[in-house]
Amino acid sequence: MFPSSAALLATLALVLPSAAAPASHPEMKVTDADRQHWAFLPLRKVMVPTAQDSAWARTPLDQFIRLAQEEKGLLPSAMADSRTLVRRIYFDLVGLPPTPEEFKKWSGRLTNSRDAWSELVEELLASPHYGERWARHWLDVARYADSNGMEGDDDRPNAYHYRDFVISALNEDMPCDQFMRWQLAGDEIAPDKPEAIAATGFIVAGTSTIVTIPMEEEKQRIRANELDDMVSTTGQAMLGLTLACARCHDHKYDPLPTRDYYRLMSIFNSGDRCDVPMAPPAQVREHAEAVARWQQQPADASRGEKPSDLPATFAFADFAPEPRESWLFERGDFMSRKEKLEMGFLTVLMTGKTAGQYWQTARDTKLRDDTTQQRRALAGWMTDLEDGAGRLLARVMVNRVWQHHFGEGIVRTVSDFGRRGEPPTHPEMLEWLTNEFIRSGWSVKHLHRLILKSAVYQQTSLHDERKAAIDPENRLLWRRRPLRLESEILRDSMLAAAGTLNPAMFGPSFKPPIPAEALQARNVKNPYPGDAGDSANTRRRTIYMFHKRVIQYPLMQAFDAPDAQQSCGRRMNTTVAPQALAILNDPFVRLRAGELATSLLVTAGPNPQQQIRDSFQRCLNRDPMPEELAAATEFLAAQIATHEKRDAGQNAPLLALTDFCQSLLGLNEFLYID
Amino acid sequence: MSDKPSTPSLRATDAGGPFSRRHFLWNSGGGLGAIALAWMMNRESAMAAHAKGFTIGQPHFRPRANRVVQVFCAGGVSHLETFDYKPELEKMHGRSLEGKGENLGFFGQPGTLMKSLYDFKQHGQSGLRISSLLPHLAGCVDDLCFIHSMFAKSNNHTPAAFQMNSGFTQNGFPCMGAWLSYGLGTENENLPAFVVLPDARGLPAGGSINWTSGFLPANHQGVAFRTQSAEPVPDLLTPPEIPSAMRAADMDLLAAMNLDFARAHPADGAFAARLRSYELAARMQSSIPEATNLSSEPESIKQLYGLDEPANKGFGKNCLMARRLLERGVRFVQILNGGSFGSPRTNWDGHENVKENHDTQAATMDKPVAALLQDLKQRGMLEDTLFIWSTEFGRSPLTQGVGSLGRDHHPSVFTCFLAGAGVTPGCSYGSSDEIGYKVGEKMVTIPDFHATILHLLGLDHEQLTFYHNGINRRLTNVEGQVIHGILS
Repeated sequence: MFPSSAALLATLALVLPSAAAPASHPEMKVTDADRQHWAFLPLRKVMVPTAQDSAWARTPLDQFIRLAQEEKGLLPSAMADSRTLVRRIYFDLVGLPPTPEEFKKWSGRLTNSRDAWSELVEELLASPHYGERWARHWLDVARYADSNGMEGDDDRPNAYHYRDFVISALNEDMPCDQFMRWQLAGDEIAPDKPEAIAATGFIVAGTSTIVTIPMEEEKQRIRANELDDMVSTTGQAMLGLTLACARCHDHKYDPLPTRDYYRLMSIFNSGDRCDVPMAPPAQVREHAEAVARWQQQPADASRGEKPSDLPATFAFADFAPEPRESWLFERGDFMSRKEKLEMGFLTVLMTGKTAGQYWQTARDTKLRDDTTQQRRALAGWMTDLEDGAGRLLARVMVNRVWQHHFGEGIVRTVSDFGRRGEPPTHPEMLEWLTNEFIRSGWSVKHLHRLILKSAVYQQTSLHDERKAAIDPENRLLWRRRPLRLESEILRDSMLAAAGTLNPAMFGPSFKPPIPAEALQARNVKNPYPGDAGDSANTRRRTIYMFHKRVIQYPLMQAFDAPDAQQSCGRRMNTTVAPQALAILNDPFVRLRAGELATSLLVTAGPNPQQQIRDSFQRCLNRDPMPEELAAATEFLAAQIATHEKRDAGQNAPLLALTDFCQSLLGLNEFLYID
Repeated sequence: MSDKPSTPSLRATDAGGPFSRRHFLWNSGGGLGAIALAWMMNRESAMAAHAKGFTIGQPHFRPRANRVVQVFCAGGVSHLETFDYKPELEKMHGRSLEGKGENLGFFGQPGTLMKSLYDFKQHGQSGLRISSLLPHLAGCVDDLCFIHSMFAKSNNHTPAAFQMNSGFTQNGFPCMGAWLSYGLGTENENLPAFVVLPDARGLPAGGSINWTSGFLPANHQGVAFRTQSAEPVPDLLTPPEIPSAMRAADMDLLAAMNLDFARAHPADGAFAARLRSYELAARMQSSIPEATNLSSEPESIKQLYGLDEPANKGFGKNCLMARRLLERGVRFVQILNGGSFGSPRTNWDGHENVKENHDTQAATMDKPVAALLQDLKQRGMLEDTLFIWSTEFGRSPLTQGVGSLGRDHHPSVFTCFLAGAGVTPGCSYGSSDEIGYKVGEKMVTIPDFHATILHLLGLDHEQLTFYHNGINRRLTNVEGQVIHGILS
């Protein structure tokens, strides 16, 4: 299979041309007309319109929404009741159901006073669970996982620092432009901050292969693919552009020349993924010197302990202060290198400042000497509102936040803002929100407040045939779209309902118990532990679950968790029989049902009707209707009788109640948030 | 917040009251499926309303085939090493290629022309040629209908695999099996209409996108079986500590309460679909283990599929399982041959050395596929079952780089075959040019291929549509012509 040494030499000769050939690639010309595409235009100041029917509106947002509805003769829906609203915002902001106590407090206050809503918004935005909930959305986009993927799927035990950075940044409301800059160049921007170093985990979160193949060509191919993942994910995640298309030819629809692609690629070509010490450069140097001193000492009893390793994070690091030589690959062929390229950005999003100027600024203010400062220049351009990509970045992020609140973006193709993407349903509103977002200092929490306080957010989900006839896809938001819980939130909510959720935050990911059958036929380097049992550690929130790329946790897979092979801006939402099987038979669900039943026996005592009422409150935040109570009581009595017969009376009430609780966890009403 | 003490929203539109319905359900046992199904169909009819004059779940005209089995060989099978005999290529062996335009390979390193690495002999009454790589399939040649002029759009695995399976190179479009499930419904409520049997060595490029239902309702999605496991679908089996009578009671309660919720949300198809999903799940618990359990098969059948031979064990088992699923009314079974990429590759992607690669792959594929064809035939099932053998693209007549023994991807011409219901047996349609580089005569695009498959199932590919984002979407997009030349 492997080539002879002569063939290998021939291959190497192809890979490493001795001299640079003159530039030959005919360049796509990015014109002013290209810059007229709505997403690339400078931000416009937008006046809030006044809809004719202003009574419904609560915030400026609602004026935009209402005006668009009026043009189509559509009426919005009424305000949802307080139960619906409390549940809606809990799941939306913290991804957990309100406890019966929290629910009682807030639904009562909301019924009495509209102001309570603002207080509830603030309380939840301040909750540490907020970051855990919203980090998951960005981690989908960042294709974050805890293993390499591909054939070997080696573990990445230090990858979690990046996940922790995202959670903390959201909880602290780190300005979103800083959040983005750190993910591209945290090690260059704030080298003394360990979390800034961990932030560059974004660049490296994609799949990778540990190269053990002696074929130079194969190595080059893997490297080219990994660089492509970095370039295309950055483009998709931050700019909503399908940059990957420009790898082999100028983009067919958007003004993205192949040359721009390879200029961006050259930035990442100056470094690679590795375990980076989470310490300031000075401390890293001192540590290295201490290790060197230790090694020079004679290896006897007097030598003492070797200095312990510094904590490390799976992140990006440059190879050297000088950039690596980088090429334009003709037609994406990494063997075909005719033209050397320096780093650069997307021409269509550059006005007035050259890439060289950004780079010069970065080098003039550098805080460390061992990197190229290219990524810092990229970070500067990416968030530059005037001359760089900042306006597009801000629009993309506003749209992502909107999507998670409503189920659909203002631009429905959340990761494609190019010409082939869908235009915004409310272009003026997107512009206004983006301006507000920037005015607030890129505060994501400010954006949440603007949205959550609107009337459009607080509508009921009731269907209406006449309105549906006018706007079947609800593009004009005449009602609330019921949203199914994401797989992680479903799992978290079951733990919360059971009362056994372990709220411990941060740290290494836990490997949940996975049935042996899920592990079949895998050629993995770090096999999954066959004996992982249910423990307090595995009862933590799902964001802390070890995501091994080739072995997906069955419950997550059934409920459409992304596989982290590529950036995912919008999850699929399927309804299939395997989900029903997971609810009915997954040991995790059964365990939670048992825990819920056990705790109900304590809180409600032996009275079945009280047990049923409490279980409804715990899972659904409501009392059962009389018919439901009657049916459930009947059910419990029958199950107790059966269990008594079968198990000689052992624990019959508990087992029967467990059966009942498991049914509650499978209800649409548990799975969907109105 | 003007509301009184919180009331569950399902009450607002609930005219009948849940008690009577629950009572009805508990007494009637199986009534739920029909109600939920009716809702699903209403929704689908609304979405299909733009297509005039046909009913969802019914063929448009008399079908020749009632079910489909598709073997998909992932990685790109070389037409030159299997079914497409090219004597001219032999003569030009070692020469460079001129006058054919741009090299279409994926890695863009054209080498020299390379003759087939296998001998071609004529077989059967038809005298069609098959290479020595596939001795068992050679024995079936009189049942096969080759299309030598296939043309794919992409020379990259993932988009090319998506195109073969869904008609589009982008992801997110419904796959063939999903369209058939949508267009024809299911023959057996207790099994999914669309089952995928992945290769035990891993998933093909693009993974489960190759059996997605895209924008079609999710119940049409392919269900991938873990074919090497005692529990082919995760969480299929009820834990042993829960007796079946109790599970039945759980299910009744769940169904009754879910039904209330679904009724309160008549526009949201997912709720009705979830009702159905529980019902289907319960039936699957007995029907899937029965369908996938091969122990009742006689020894002679097991030997036919090569289950006693290490090379054939995994894939052979899947082929036999496919026959059992087809017998039990599964509409579309997709069997994948070839696992994941990476090193070593476990699929047909012979970049470095075609012979080494194809020898290994063919050893797993040839005998079981031939066995499945024979088995379907001896049971009379080939009469109304359409058999599809496919791959995402072929391989180049050039070596991949000078001095190499590998061949690069080659989408501009390749071979697939059909067999069974409505297809002319022992026939060969279209051709590649003299060296197998481009289409010679009668190009068949993927939309043509799909249009023909739908036609055999009694569906007009221009009429089988689903309204999505302002467009009446089709499997064949805006293309596709039925290949009448291969119809019997």
